[in-house]
Amino acid sequence: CKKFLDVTPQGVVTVENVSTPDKVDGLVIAAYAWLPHEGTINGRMSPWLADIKSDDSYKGGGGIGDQLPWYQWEVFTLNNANTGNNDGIWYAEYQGVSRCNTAIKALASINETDYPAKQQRIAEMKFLRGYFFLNLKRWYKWIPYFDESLPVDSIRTVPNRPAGAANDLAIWQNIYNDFDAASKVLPADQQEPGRPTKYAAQALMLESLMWMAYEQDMSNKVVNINKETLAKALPIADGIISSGKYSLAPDYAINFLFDYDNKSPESIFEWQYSHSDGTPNGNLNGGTPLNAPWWPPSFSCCDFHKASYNMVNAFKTDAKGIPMFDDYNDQDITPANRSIYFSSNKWDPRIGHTVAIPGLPWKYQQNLLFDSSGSRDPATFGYFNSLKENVESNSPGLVNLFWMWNSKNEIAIRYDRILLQKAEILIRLGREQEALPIINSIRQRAANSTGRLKFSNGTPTLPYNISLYINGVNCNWTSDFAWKALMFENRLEFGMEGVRWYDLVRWGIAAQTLNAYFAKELPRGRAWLKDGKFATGRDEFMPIPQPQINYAFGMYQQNPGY
Amino acid sequence: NTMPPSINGMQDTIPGKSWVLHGSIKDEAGKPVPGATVQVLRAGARSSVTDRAGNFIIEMNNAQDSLEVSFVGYQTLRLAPGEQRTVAITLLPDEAGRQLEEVVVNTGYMTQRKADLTGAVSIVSAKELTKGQGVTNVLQSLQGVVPGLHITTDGNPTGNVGVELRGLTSIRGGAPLIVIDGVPSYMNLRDINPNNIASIQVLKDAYSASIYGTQGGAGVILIETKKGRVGRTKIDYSTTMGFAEFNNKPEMLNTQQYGQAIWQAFVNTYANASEKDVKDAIRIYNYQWHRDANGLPVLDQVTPIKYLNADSTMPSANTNWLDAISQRGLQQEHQLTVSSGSEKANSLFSLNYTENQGTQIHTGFKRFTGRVNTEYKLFDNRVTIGENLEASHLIERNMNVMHQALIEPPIVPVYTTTGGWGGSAVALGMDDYWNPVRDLTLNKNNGNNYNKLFGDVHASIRILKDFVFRTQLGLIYTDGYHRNIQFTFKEGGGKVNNINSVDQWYWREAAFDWTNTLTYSLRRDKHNLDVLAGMEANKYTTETSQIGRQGLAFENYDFAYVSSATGNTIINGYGSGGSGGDKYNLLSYFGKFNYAFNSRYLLSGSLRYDGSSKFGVNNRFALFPAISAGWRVSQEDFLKDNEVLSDLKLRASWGRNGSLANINSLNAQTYFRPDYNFTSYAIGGSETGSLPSGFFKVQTGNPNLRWETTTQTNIGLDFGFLQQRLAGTLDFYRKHTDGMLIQPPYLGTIGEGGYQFINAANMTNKGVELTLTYSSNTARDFNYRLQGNVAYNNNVVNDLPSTVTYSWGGTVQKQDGIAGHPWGAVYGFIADGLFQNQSEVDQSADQPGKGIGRIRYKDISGPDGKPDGRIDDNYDRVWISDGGRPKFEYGLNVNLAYKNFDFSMFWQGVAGVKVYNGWKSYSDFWNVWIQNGFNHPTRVLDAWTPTNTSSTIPALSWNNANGELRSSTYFIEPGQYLKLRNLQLGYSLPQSLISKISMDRIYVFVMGQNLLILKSKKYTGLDPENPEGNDYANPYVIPRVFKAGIQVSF
Repeated sequence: CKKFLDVTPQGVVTVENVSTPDKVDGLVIAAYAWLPHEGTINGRMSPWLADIKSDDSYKGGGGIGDQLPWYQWEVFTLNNANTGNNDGIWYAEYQGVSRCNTAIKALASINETDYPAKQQRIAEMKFLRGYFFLNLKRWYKWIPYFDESLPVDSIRTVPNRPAGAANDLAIWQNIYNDFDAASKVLPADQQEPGRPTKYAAQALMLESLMWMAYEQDMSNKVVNINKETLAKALPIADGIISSGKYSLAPDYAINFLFDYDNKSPESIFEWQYSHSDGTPNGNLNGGTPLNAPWWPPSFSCCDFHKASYNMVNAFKTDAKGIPMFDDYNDQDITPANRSIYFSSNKWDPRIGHTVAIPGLPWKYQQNLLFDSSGSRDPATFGYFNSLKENVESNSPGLVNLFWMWNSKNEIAIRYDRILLQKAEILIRLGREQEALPIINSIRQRAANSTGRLKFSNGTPTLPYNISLYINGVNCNWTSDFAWKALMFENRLEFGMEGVRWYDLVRWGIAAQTLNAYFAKELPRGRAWLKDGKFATGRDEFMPIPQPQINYAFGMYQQNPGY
Repeated sequence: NTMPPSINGMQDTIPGKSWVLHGSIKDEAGKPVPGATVQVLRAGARSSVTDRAGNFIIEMNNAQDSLEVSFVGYQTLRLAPGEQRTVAITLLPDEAGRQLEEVVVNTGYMTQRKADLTGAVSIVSAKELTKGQGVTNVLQSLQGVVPGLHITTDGNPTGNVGVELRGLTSIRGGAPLIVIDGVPSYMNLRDINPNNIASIQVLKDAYSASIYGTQGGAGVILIETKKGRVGRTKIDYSTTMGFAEFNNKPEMLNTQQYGQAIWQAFVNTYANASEKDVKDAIRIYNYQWHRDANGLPVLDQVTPIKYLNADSTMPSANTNWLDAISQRGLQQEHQLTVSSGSEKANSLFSLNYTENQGTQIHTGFKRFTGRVNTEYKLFDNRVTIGENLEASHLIERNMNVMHQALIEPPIVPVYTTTGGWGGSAVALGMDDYWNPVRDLTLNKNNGNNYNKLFGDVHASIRILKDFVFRTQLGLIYTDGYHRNIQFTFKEGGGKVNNINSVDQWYWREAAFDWTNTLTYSLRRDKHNLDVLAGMEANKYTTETSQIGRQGLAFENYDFAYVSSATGNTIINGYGSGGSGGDKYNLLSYFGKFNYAFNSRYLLSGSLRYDGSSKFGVNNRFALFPAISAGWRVSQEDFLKDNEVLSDLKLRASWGRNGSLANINSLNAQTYFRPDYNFTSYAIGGSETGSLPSGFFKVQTGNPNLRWETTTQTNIGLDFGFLQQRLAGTLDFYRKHTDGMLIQPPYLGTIGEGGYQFINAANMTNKGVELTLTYSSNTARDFNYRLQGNVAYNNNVVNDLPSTVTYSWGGTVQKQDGIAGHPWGAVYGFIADGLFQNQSEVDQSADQPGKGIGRIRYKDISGPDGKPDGRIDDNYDRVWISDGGRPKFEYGLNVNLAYKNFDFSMFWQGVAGVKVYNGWKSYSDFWNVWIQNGFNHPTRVLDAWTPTNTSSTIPALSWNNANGELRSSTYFIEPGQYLKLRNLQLGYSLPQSLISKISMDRIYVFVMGQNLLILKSKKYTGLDPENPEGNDYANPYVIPRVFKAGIQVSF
């Protein structure tokens, strides 16, 4: 009679059921699937979220209460360990880690003769795992690191800040090692564009070293710029560049267009999004559906990720066509002066690819001029929208579910970043002259990228004016100047891509930059930024989410200042 | 002569005054009828009950007196014994006798005389149930009727009901087990026709419920359906017709007021706002305003702009959206019952149609039911076989757009001038409101349908003399389905939906129950013993498929099938809730005995051994014991002749139960599953088309997972005075739930699938229940009956596992988790008035976002245990309310009858409750929710301004920098209420008149429901019974209902 109670669970399997040569791909693909699927907005580290904390972007949306936690991040003083959605990101990234570890363990249990792709798949999983840890590391700094060899039951014994740690380099080293191990196995080319190549792994080795070089003390202060680490990074950058696999796209726009999914020569690793794929709405970019303008009938929702006036100003160029490093933000843009302001100043063309400006075409659509009605709460967040993550109003990749989802791929690692990282290394190593042509190659491409920035009558959408740096002509290419130029070039090249914040933290200039930013913004009508103040030694990193501190029963230490 | 010479020393004749009548009562077969009631029909006269041999004695003192003899299952007999000293009475079977449930009580698998009952059981007869004429869900008519049964309802036409018996049994909820004609389930009683119910018994204490073992933890509700009666074929027809209407409609801002308020919110927030700032921010009004001598903005004139869209098809309107979505909903019910019976067979057949239109347009609920109950007695009554079966078809169209209607600004018209839909002017900066009339209208044919078949076949065989074997096979089969269209639309203000789709859903659930019992009865001298042994097996299977597809060429139901759509296909959900399936089984062995000595000392016990496939292999079976005892004090010699006290019984019981409700069959398992929507990836770079997919971990198993165990002790008292004209029941209980299933949040680093169910939390309910009934003598023209009850319950969470100590309030810093407080208790800040001026703001604690006109929160503590000049989550919150469960609940039923007229009213109320009035987030704030610029109740017009400083309502604000949606005492309000639930006036046409047209009965009545609500003045919302208006909820206000009806029998 007791057999009556032996009911097999319906519709589910055990991990042993799928740890077989013919099923194990299911665990690998599930690890890849984590990224497009990991929650949405509050449950993933979508790159643009980091912009909220930088001087590039306002949170946006329907007032400061709309996704209140982002407002709390944005002003820093209201951010604390209980801030909503902080826990979601932590949890989601570790869920990604667990998918990778599950797959690695299953792969390891299979004989290579039965499953020839074994080593390569393990390398792919290490790459992905490293990527999730990289996200965590840059955001929280002190994170528990472990790999698949640790039994799940023992994970709770891993502290976030190992006892006696003088700095966080050991955690970085673990992340670096995953990328390093992956790079040694991964091929130079992949049949399937969703899988990482050895160069993708090397690019993240480079990214890790770029953090490790700026050594921080226990209160997040950059205390040493380690030239040895930089010297180790340089050949990695050179290796990627000299591979001949990548080049700058002729038009910067190509990196942000749905039509060029997997087609940009600049793309080193790209997250794959799809639509009409049999899932309810598609494997769409879960991070950005709130970021289209509030602008029916073209877009319905929700006007988040608004370009800051500070960043818009940063695209201004002087008469010589170079950025105005120190006085770019001296003038305010108001509803009254807006149209004159844009026509009377000169601009780096990349603003046309980065920021939607009223009166200018939306995403290169000459027949669709963006206008001020696309802004939902302009009294609070102004009139400038973000373009790069968005698509054309008629894009086949746009999925209108009131939230405006799209299936445009997201280039996670781009060649221009490698170039600027190399330039950064060279400048830091005192070889700024060698950095000059690299930076100029980036600027030359920007200068070449005006073909799509035109009204239907063929006139440029703004008075664009960009020059290369020519030592002795429009600049004096000293070490100091080169550094300023590099910082500015990164801001302009990667505006609204979630890069700026990490650069500020990495370089150790977040406090000075953001407090100067708040000081200007507040009197310019951004009354809601009155609580904006960056606390040095605390706000460089997010607090360890309070629930995690609670569940760790003393194993975790909160980040300094929280 | 079988007459005993004397009983209990009573003399045959009391000289000069009275004498004792000896009687014997037998049935047609000549068998004695024990337990029959013999009543002298005179005020204050005595009654008696036959003993095991069917004998009774009763004191007589008037030769004119009549006797009434009654027993369940037999025709009630009246006789005039005159001066006889002995009578022999033969009772004829009569199913009508079953109306007298007061006598015999079903206690689960067996019956027991109420007099011998030692558990806490509440009984509601069909007669009492008919009072709430035309309730959709029979539980609605129990609200306030059964003490300890806490019922919550709302205004949804389908009759949504929440049930808790004796407080909350588990933090995972847990509804009482519903047993219909012996077949257990957790059925939604919406699915059954209340008119077919003969009686409801609520098993409240652990002894009564423990025979249901793992299923009885939250109590048991036993329902018996009506059966055919011996006698000629009888036809009953009844109908009620009426309407339901919106109760308590809140007064919302009109267009003018909305314009004022939105302006006020803006200038309050942006003190230095220029005229242009206002113009940019509020583009749907033109304002004339100036600043007074103090620089304060003053509004002179507000004019809505002419058109809200560029096409000029949407002029500014003044729409009352609540009126626009409301209707008077038709309510009708028709019931036809045909019954007949002989000594060898009886049958009942009924048909019913119920329609409840909602108070929102195009909404409603329809239910068709048919029932057939038959039973045959074979082989000289040694074998009984029969079946009970009800089939129903339900149509639900219960869309609820209250939230949308409350918040849609009045300036928006319902329709455009060209006949299209009006809608939020998003291009003019309005937020994303959805036209609720459009929503209701487009979706009027979308909804769910259900077919249900439930009932049993049973047989019982008398073996030897005292053994009865009974076997019963029960079935509950439900299928649900819908084919809904998501329509494209375009609203005049710019909101559009360009993607249409059709969604086909089909769900079926089958539950089989097989029960076998063997009972033995012993009647010897003063000993009465009944023993039962049994086994039961339950098997559940459910399967669901739900597939949607986009791209319909035609948006009509004749065309729209998944196969005729051409776009993206969507397979929804997983498991029993979406496309998938589930199976689980339950196996039980049980035994029970009832023993009475000398009808005074009562002892009962039960034992159940239950196993469920849902539980961990190490803890699959569990044993649930229970024991109870009673002392019928009034039967003792020293009280037996008491003139005043007619009944007194002390009862005590203790027992254990389990809880299986809300526990699913995967809870104990470690498992991975595929989910195309969650594990697929375009690894090959494809933009469209199908993708490779995999598996992910959902849960970590727990092989030790076991039942939630409820242990309950009950002490009760039944009493009656004045020949039971005043009767009552008093019960005290303590109910402890141990090892409640919790799926605690876990350390994030463990990663996906780390969720694991554990048995951890404990909780206790303590309470008191009192019922009192006072009736007049039934022999007069004017009769009355008053029945009141009151119940008290106090719930407290005892302890929680460490990982969730602070999951429901409390902070690590203060170490003040929910343990020690009731489940649902509210943790929050103390709102300490409004800041009146800048110096108050400056002098107060550091509170981010504070400002003039904003709520000041109290600085309670800090890291040093003292107020630290800083308002924060860690130190400044306290427990501010015990939550929404009332400590006291009461009901009062008044029945009056004068000749052929009857009148009844029923009042129900709760007290001792502070509710979280989330409605205030609509009525007292401008922009605390995500959507900005909601419409609001007119209460916001009285908000604080520099010239209206006495207001307690915070200044209207464009943003919520002060975080005023936070849980605080601002939202805590007294939640007591008293409602006139039901009022009914009826008239039975005189017998003399209707017998001429060969009818038995014609009864007409009128009634009203929810006619009056009395609540605290301090409660600022609509109805404290449904206080939640927060969190984008849809408050569905309970409607007022008026009905008239007629019942005929022939």
